Amino acid sequence: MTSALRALRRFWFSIESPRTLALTRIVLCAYATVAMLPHDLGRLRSAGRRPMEFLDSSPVLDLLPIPFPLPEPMLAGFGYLMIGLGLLAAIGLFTRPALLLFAAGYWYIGAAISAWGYVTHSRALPAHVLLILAVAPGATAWSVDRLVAWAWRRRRGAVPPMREVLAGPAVPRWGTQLILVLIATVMLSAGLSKLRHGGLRWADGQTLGFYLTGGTTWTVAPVDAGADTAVRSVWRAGYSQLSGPSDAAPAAAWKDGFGIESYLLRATPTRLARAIARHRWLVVVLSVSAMLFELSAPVLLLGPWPRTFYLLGAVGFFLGIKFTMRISFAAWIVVCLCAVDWVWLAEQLRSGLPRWPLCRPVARAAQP
Amino acid sequence: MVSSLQRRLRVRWSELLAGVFIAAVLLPQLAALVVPYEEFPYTSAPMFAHYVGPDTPRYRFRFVAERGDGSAEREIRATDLGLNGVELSRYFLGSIYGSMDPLSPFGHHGGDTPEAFEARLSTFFRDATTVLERRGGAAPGQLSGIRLEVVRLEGGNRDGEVHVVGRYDVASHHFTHTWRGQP
Repeated sequence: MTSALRALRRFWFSIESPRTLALTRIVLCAYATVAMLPHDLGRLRSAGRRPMEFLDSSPVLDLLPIPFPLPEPMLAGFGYLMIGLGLLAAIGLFTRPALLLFAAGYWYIGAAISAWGYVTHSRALPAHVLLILAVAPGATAWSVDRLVAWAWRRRRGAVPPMREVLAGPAVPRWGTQLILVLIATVMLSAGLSKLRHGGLRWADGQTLGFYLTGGTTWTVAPVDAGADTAVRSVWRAGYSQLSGPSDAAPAAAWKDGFGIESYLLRATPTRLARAIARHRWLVVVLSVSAMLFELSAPVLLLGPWPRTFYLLGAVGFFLGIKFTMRISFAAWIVVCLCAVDWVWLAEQLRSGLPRWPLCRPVARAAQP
Repeated sequence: MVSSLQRRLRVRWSELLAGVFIAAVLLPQLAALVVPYEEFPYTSAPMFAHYVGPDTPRYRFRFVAERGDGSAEREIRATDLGLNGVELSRYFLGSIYGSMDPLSPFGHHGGDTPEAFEARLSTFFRDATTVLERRGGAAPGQLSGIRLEVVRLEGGNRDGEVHVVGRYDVASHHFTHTWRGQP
């Protein structure tokens, strides 16, 4: 028991350089402010205009002391406040309060736009990471706050190296570990969901093939709306497709006699997706790979190399989704790229490359 | 017990506090591994997880407005209710109708009964009628009822077999589940 707790303690609280959290703070906050916020503030405005009769509130929305919907003048102020907080958090000025408020604002936005049955998966991980950054030690490294502290100490006579002050001391690594565990858990959840709801037959390629050929692209339009049967019109007026088992027991299907189990997500396949879907073996390979990749997510916690390979693999996975089904997980890509320990990777490559036969001539040529 | 363990492991208070934070962030996500659910920002990531093969039946909901003046019935669109189609479908299935799967992350009402089902649908359609009238989708008093149907989709998403789930009576504010007892 004690040794297990010691291992757990080592896992969470070993000391490491705070560079991963600092990089994540700078890049994610800048990305969220510049790329995510304009879009999300628009969605928040739209959410406020929906009929409140259909509001499916969540604990997050209920707990945060921000009214919903925000009146129009307050909405503009909220937008400017979020932009200011995001920029402050990115550059690291009043870092902790800026991060805390920015994270709270993002949880609010995410919960508000998810309050009508739609859950914004693309914002789930960034919202978590912003909260972790607000609390975890090391997230304030490489910040204006540290620069100001360095300038202050310099004025008083002590002149520590600026780089040393900006980087700060090594810190317990639980912030980075928590981000990695969250990535692993959500990816594993996706794999387990496929096993739970689809079973092993999910790997036979039929499901992926259905989406890659545009199975849910075309809207299920109202009977009197022929013009609405166009791509994307399902977002305007039609309805999502629903599915259920073909052999539902009457007792389970008592509501309608069919037995409705789930809705099907809408995906708009690209030309690449349709080309892939023409090759049945390729769809099977991709289905099996996707399941194995998701189910193997915990390996990213096993050490620096598995972490590096899995995170870069995840970037490829999300790019694949983007370029086949037009579903963007850009914020996840940002988090995964920031979670790679680039300094460690560069050191490994620098020291390891000369041992690889193909790289020896290059390494020799690079030597002074 | 905590303090003795703390002494044996030489755990600092800062680590205990961090542990509480880690647990608060992580436990709801770990719970989603065991009991699937979707509540922002926690998710069991069920996207595209349900099997869809050539023989998988696909359906859609249909809300049909019945008018008291005897004029033609009209299908209610998502936009009539101020939502888009995806939102309405997911909201209606998850929060109101309920999946038949007891482990559905999209909304299952544990221990659901026909009475509870009728009560939820009565509330939903009462709200829907209010919204329709407010948004100009129907003049006040014009609607006499709303029929809920589940339509099986054929090739090309054409409507196929229709099951009438029930009917909401605007005057009595009550949804009657009529599918019960049918073959």
